[in-house]
Amino acid sequence: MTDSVQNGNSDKSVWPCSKEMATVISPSEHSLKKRVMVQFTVMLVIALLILIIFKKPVAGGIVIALSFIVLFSGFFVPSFFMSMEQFGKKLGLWVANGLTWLLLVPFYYLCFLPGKILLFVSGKDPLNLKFHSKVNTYWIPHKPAEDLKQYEKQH
Amino acid sequence: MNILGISAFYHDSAASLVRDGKIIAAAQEERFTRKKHDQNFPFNAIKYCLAEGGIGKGELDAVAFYDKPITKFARILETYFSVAPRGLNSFMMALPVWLKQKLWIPMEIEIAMEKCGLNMPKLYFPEHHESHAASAFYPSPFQNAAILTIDGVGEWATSTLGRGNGNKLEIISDLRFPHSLGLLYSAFTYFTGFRVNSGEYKLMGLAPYGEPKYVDLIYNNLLDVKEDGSLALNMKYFGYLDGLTMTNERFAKLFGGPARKAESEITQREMDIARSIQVVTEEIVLKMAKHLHAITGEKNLCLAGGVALNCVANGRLLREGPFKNIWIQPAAGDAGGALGAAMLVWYLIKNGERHTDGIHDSMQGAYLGPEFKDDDIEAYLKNKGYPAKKLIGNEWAKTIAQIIDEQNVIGLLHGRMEFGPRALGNRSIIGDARSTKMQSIMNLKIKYRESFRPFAPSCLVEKKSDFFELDTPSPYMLLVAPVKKERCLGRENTSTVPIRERINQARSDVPAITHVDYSARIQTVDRSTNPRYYDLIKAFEEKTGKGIIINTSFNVRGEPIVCTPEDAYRCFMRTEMDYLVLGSFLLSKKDQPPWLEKTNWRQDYVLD
Repeated sequence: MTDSVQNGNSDKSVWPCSKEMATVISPSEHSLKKRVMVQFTVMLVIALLILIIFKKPVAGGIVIALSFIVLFSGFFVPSFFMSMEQFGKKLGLWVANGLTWLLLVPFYYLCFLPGKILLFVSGKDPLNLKFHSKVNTYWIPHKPAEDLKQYEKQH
Repeated sequence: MNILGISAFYHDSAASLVRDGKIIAAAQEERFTRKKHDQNFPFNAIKYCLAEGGIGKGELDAVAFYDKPITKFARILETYFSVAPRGLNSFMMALPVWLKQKLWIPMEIEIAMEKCGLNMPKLYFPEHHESHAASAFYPSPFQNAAILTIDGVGEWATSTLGRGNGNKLEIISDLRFPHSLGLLYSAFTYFTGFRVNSGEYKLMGLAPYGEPKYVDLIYNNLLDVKEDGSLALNMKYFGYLDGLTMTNERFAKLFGGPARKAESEITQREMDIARSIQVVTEEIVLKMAKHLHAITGEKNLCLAGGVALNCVANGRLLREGPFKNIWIQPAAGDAGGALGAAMLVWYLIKNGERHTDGIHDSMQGAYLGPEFKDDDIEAYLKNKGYPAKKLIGNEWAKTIAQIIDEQNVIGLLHGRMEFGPRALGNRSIIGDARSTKMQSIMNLKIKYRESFRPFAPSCLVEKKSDFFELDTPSPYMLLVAPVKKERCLGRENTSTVPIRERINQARSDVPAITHVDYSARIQTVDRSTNPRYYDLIKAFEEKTGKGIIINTSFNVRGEPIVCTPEDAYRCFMRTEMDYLVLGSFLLSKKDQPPWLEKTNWRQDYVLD
């Protein structure tokens, strides 16, 4: 039940035989130098903000010192830089997770619990969770797309 | 007109390229990233498809994404409205991912287009099950057909009944979340200790070792099934609405104990549960098909969706179902949605012409992925210093057949990579189906996987009836059929024999591919689709009298099927395979330089 048409009419392979020859796309792949420079610049800007706007010379000094540690380790001791980067990533993840829980837990109860109560009061059951064993079928007629424009929409 | 199809962000991300209705390329992202069931945006698969099609700036006309993300998100929110105050953990897992990524699909596509140096074309979003239905109907050989799609869940639909006519496709009715045959099967996959969305085929493979003891228990407690195959689940027993597991305490109580822990001993209970849910699934699929036949009056059936990969149910449908012909999309899971979405845009939206001959499909044997030419393979081997012998002309098939006959295990990479979960001879590990020891050797020394799992045969299409009770081709390994009775040995009831002993019992004169219930998951090989692979099996037949070999996917447990010669060589050296074939080149393990790895490579793969 298949046909014999083959598309491979080129003499050369379109994909490389090994990773060394490939440019596998990774969504967030940046070179080490680029990462060092970005992190150094961001830290320096934060330090300047602390110094100029918040007038905190000690805190600002610490951030400046850290930014130069990042710069020098990035260029001269990359293994140390990468360890720091890993730690930073983990710290960022913990902070992000913490913030996520802090914000989303109240949101969940404030939004969905009243919604559930409203559904209960109005007798609605959007997921058809109640067993209706007396119905003849559970198939639901499908509503066709009103027009082909519907296919351009994400909903 | 060039249309790129994309599926992503659930499991098995993939891309496909369709040009004026013809499939140019299709591949799953996991093959490039080497991360099994990779769900991330398929940058590499897109890049490959565009390269295969030679698509330059301004030449891509449309991109089709395989579902409607906003509708899916709305369904998730409605679920929380229904289950609150429970469901917090599930919400905390789901919402950040949606906010960060899944709601910004046009942006992701734009970034991918930019990376590939292309302009942003027009975007289309067919429904999830429409994409499945399109992937089943449009490449099929039929001008008219009934269409059945069954999977876990899309936006709301979990199964659909439809009809295809020419280039038109219509969904007639659907079943809606949370009532899903796919999720029911996945719940049992979880409960028996296998990974959801990955271990379903293991559950299917385990089923013949058990007895259908729990069928009544399942029907009486877990679901209500109507005569037309529609069903409603009793959600009191399932955990996937408000928790992080598929089943809950009540479910465990019903089956006399907690879910089996992954990698722990498989007991008779798991085997009986596997058999029971398999029986229930087959009965429901048969009922759905009968109802679909009654309402459409069609003689042809097209199938897609993850449940369509249940080849035991497919085999029963073929033997006992009402349809004269059945065609199943080889990439029936979500990866195939990428292909269906692109084809739907061409045929339904752009009103493209569709031609069929009632016999041949347009999947090109599912060989739609990257191919590596001999010159490039030779350059790679020379660059790496790997000794190899070039086999020219007929020597290729004859030499490999000889090596198989000498009881060696061979890794085979040639031609274009397969699209879908099955290796169909181009990225396969092959061996002698006549051997009584081959199943154990391959499972434990090559694949490093559970010893109960059976191997599938590749046999010459014209010899299928010599070996199996099957009279229709099965080019995509999606049908299970009994081994011919005259070939079987000792069919007495063996349920009292321990599982490990049962595995090693010779059950036929092709024991390595005969499962414990005397069935086999068959791939028929046609010369018109894959001449090289056909010639190899033919050469083996000329040598041994049997045109049948073992064919299992070229990977180890937890690893995606190999894509490149480099992947194949790595897998070859890490396992106890004896020979490797890369295009026209034959590599013997004995001749290779020592394989040195500093780390434990098994940690690279998450066990499935």
